[in-house]
Amino acid sequence: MAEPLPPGVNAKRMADALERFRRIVGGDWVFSGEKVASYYDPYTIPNEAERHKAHAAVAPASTEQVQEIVKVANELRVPLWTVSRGKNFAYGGAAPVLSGSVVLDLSRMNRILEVNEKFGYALIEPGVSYFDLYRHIQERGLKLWLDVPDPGWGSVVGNALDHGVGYTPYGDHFGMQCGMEVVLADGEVVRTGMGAMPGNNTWQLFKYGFGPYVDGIFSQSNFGIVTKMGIWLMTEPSGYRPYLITFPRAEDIEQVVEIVRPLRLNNVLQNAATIRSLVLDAALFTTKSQYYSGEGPIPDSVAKQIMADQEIGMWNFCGALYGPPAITDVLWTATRDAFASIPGVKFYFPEDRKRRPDILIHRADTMKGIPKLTEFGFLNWNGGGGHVGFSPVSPITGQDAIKQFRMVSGRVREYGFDYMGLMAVGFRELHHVTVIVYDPTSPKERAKLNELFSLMVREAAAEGYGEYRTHIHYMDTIAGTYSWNNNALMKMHQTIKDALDPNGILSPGKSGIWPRHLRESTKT
Amino acid sequence: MKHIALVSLAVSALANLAMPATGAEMTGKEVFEHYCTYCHGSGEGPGTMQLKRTRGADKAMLTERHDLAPDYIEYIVRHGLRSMPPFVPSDLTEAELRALVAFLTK
Repeated sequence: MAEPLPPGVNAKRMADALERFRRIVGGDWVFSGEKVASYYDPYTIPNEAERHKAHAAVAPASTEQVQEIVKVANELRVPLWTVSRGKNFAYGGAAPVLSGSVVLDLSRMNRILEVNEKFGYALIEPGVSYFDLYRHIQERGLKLWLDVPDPGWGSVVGNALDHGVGYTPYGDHFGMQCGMEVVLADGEVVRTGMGAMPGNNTWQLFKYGFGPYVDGIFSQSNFGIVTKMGIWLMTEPSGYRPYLITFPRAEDIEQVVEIVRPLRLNNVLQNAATIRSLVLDAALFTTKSQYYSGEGPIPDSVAKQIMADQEIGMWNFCGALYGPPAITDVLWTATRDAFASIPGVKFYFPEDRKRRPDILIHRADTMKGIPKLTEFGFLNWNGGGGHVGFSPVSPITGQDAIKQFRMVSGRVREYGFDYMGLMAVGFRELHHVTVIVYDPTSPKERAKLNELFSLMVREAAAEGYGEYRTHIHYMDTIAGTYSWNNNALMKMHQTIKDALDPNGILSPGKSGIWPRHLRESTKT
Repeated sequence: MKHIALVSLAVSALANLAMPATGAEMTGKEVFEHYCTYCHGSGEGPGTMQLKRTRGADKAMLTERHDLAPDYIEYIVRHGLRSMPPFVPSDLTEAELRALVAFLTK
């Protein structure tokens, strides 16, 4: 199948654009024809083969090359789809929303420009992965910790820009970014915050600079291309003690979350802890077929067997204590006492876990910022390999937690999938992330998933729950749920889009934001 | 102008400190360790565990196999397979892929 062309761009104009891109970055770094396959969404959802297919990809090595590419794209009206490393696989990978786009792949911009141990930050380019930054810090013996999401091969910049979360006290990744360099659609380069002041030395220390704080408009957006970013790093604590608390019944989530809220608000819970469901944890190291050969989700009897075999609960609270023992001992006593009233609760430290591999031993690495790919084990649960994340946000209340759990797990199981969810505890909110593992090679399964996902979005929105992040296929759908006051927020986004990118060449359709000339034709 | 000169100097100094995250001339073994080992490097890696389940214990560890054809390796790296996603050529380059294939088929 020939690669699709974007609306309004013919083959001749696209060929001209690719030739000019080659002159900018070199012939080895423009990928077309068969080589574009690596940029397809590996876990595709729609059954229409032409959806979300890139025409080509271009991989610049510097901010200057990005500027030149953008100028050509503007002149020829060729849409670019920007990815930092394109590893955001639960949400579309490197694939664009708009078919025919040229992927602007920033993987080669992988310089670690500075790691500052004294102040605890790094200044990096978007192609730097968690593995890269971790390796850099370890090789130099710096007393700094990263905060990592589950897949360590992703971009530190890209994850922060997509509002990704991790599991240390620095788990809010965008909250930890400080200072950006951004290439705008016309090729202009902007530095935000203190970076706008010549000679200033606090670009990575103070976020706000002077005047409007604009960094947020470059996250989950298509208003510019972030080519450098500061990220705060945690100073290595003097002590670290990870723990696991298990709860035996599904309905325990209500009481667990009620206990979590005051602990989190009072900083007794120091990190972005997670409350993980049975099958999600079991799936890291075992498969469904080891326990169950029937159709549909596992029955309760199988769940009980898994719990016994793996010494885990229906819910598993993974947390950690950071600091000197004099402090962490007190925090642990308060934490343990708070949860002790739940019938059947069990408390574990790593030394209590003898089975290998084991969920706490694995999560102990993640909660101290060691990047891994172990979490991808859950993709093997039913052999399908594909996955998509459904991620509504709620307050930290037991009532919301059990309501969301029942809504999502009920629908997921009704459609024949196992519920694999977690609730990540933020500063004031719960991210309820459910991964649905499916077979992306089966048109029937993709159609079923699509129906399920769309239904869950509608039902969540009807209850006032919004997704914080989504797959490229659902960006319009999710954006449509943020519709207060006759879509006033989207109208503002569109005003900004039209001002900064009047030709609409930057990532059309990102987060539901379309350039003016595509707004009508892309309505779904 | 003085400020501009200072900024230029600072940026230049940063650039001099910068190191590429990957080496341009990695050996096949280094390529494997850099890109593949997290999933395929140990018995607990998700790739190894999946291969053990689907292909058998004797085919679980990629580095111990002798039945992998070069074309097959190249195809899987660039297109992915089931849960394994593809690697784009800007990240795992064509030269690195050739070195990896040579390492896994030696």
